[in-house]
Order: sequence, then structure tokens, then C-alpha cells
Amino acid sequence: MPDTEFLVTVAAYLGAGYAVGMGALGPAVGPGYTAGLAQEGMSRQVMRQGAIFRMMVLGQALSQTAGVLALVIGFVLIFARGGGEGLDKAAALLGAGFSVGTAAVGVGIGNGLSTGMACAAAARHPKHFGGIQQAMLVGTAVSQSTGIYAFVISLLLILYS
Amino acid sequence: MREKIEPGLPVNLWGMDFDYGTVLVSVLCALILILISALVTRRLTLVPGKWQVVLEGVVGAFDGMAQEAFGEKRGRKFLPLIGTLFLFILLANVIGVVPVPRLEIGGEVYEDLNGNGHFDGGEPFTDAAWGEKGRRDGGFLLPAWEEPTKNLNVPVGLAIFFLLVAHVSAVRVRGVWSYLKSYGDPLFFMAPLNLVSKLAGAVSVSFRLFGNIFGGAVIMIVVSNLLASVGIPVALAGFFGLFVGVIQAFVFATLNMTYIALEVPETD
Repeated sequence: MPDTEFLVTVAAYLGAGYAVGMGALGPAVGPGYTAGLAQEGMSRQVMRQGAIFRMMVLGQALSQTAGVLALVIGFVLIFARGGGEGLDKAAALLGAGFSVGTAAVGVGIGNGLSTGMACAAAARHPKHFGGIQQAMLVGTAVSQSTGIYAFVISLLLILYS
Repeated sequence: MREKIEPGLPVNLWGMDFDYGTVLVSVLCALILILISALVTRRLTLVPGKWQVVLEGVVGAFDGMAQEAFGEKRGRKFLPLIGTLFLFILLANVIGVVPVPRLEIGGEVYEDLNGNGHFDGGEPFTDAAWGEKGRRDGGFLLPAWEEPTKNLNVPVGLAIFFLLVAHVSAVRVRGVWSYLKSYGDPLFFMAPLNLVSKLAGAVSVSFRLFGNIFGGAVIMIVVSNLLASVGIPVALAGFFGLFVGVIQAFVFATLNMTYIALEVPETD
């Protein structure tokens, strides 16, 4: 039976690896989808390439947020998980990584769908660019809020366990 | 290139720790912005010069975006705030690319034998660097030259400020009752959820900026430790320092503008 301090370290490393690995899955699929639809839109609206490109970059940054939150939790787990030992601390650290990593999959893909469709819509109706962009920002903010819940719970798990 | 992540040097005031490096560099960013703007706009000409074109381009782009979001009259009112936010974050994100060594001014380095952080007499003077063993007696250590946005307090502070701007201007434009009613939309028991979704924007926008800048800095430190002199760190500084910095500054300013625009209805 290894001592519990060792278990805490194992849990932290496992959690960090899971968080950043899963945090790469969603935020890679989502922005990739956005980029694909944006490129198709650019080929259709050659004169509006700059505006569509700007919307693509904004959308990709939005869908990447969940991955960045997972990265922050990964750093905290590796560098600043604090003292403490015991099975409950190990479980809290593992749970923190699981929470933020798994949330990133859904949030990344969902946001990517939203922002990609926004790029396609902007290419189809370039006159309504402002309205489409506003709807995209609101939609991604709503779909992101669950990822932020996961992030907050992860921080609470690490800090108060 | 920095070798390791160094904790800031806190200055304790009124029971709180202030990281004076972050404060100094962000004040310096503000001073640089004021200086550039004052120099460029000193002699405005109808046919713009080289620098005037750059500044006019930035102001014009944000003018267009603010008018699209707020409408024509109110857009001009919010333009200085949003434009300054973008320029400040932009400069704060990329200022870490400038290599500034960490200087120690004055004093003498001694070996801290008993590790109490003070010079007790009898401890030998050495050339050891500031760190575990070497301590400086007297003198002053310049703060680490780092992006202010790498410190979580800066993005969170800015996000809280813009949250206040959004909600105060919502009360001023729509009146207290109409503002409070927006929390019970569509039904009154949705109020807690509405409150969370209004706060979630500030959380996500500040952590996005912090995570990108901090992650970039850690990746640069790791890679430059792995390959010290191959020149790849320079390319990485170009990507994480300049490219990511510009994009995240744009995203931060645009999202804060949209959060204000969502609270303040378009009138004209």
C-alpha cells in the first residue's frame, strides 16, 4: 500500500493529462469545422474574404476557450495543487481534471458548430454581418457557460479539498 | 528568454500583496500609449503621414465596429473606451517580447548562509546570482519584465470594470425597473440563471486572455530550456507573443464591447 501523498501526486498527474488531452479533442474539432466552413464561404464571397476571416478567428478563439480552461487546470494540478494528503484529496484532483477535460469536448465541438455555421451564414448574407456576429457571440457564450461551471467546480475541488 | 517561472515580488501594503512588476509594466504600457498618441496627433494633416495612417486605421476600424454594435450616436460614446482597451491589451500582450534583462542596482551580493534573508555580518560576499543562496544587501532588484496580462489579476480586474460599465450604462439608459426586469426574462424564476450567465461572460473573457498568455509563456520557457540556442524560441516568441497576443487583444475588446451592447439596447 503506497502512502497517500504519493497517491495525491499520481492523481494530480493523471488529472492534468486527462484534462489537457480531452481539452485538445473538442477545441481541435470545433475550430477545424469553423475553418472549413469559413474557407468554403471565402471561396463563395471573394470580395468579403477579410470580414469572413475576422469572424473565423473570433469564432475559433471562442471555441478554443474550453481548451484554455483545461490548460489552466492542468497547470494548477502540476504546479500549484497545494499540500494535503489522503484519498479524498487524490479523488478531488482526479475529479477536477475529469470535470474540466470532459466539459471541453462538448463545449469545443458545440462552439465550433455554432461559429462555423455563423461563418457560412455570413458568406450567404454578407449584408447582415453584424447581426450574425452578435447572434454567434451570444450563442457561444450560452453554450460555454456549462464549460465555465466545470472550470469553477474544478478550481473549488483543488482549492477546498 | 526566462529560465523559470518566478513568482512576482510582492509589496505588502494595507495587508494586501501587490506585485510591483505587474503594476510597473502596466503603467509603462499606459505611458507608452499616451506618448505615441500625443506624438502622432501633434501635427494632424489632411494628407496623413505614415504614423497617422496607422492610428487612423485602428480608430476607424473600431469606430465601424462600435457603430455596428451600439448604433451611430452611442457608438461614438463607447469608442474611446473600447479602442483604449484594445490598444492597452495589445501592448500588454506583446511587451514581453522585448528582451529586458533583470537588473540589480546597487548593493553587494553575499552568501546567505543561515538562509534568513538578511545580512548578518560574517557572511562572505560572492558573485552568486540572486536566488537560493545569493542575497543582495541593500540595492534594488528590478521586477521581472513580463506581460502584465500574464498575471490573472489584470484580466480579471479589467473584466470586472467592463462588467460594471455594462450594467451601470444599462441602468442609466433603460432605467432601474426595466433593468431589473431583464433578470426575470422570460419567467421570474429564471433570475438565478440569468445572473450566472451575466457573470459567466466576465469569467470566460478574463480566463481566456490569462490562459492564452500564461500558457504561451510556459511553452516558451519549456522549449527554450530544451533547445537553448537553435533559434526556435525566436519563432515561438513570434507566434505566442505577437500572433496570439494580437488576436487575444482583439477578442477581449470585441467581446467586452458585445457584452455592453447586449445590456444597452440600440436606440437609433
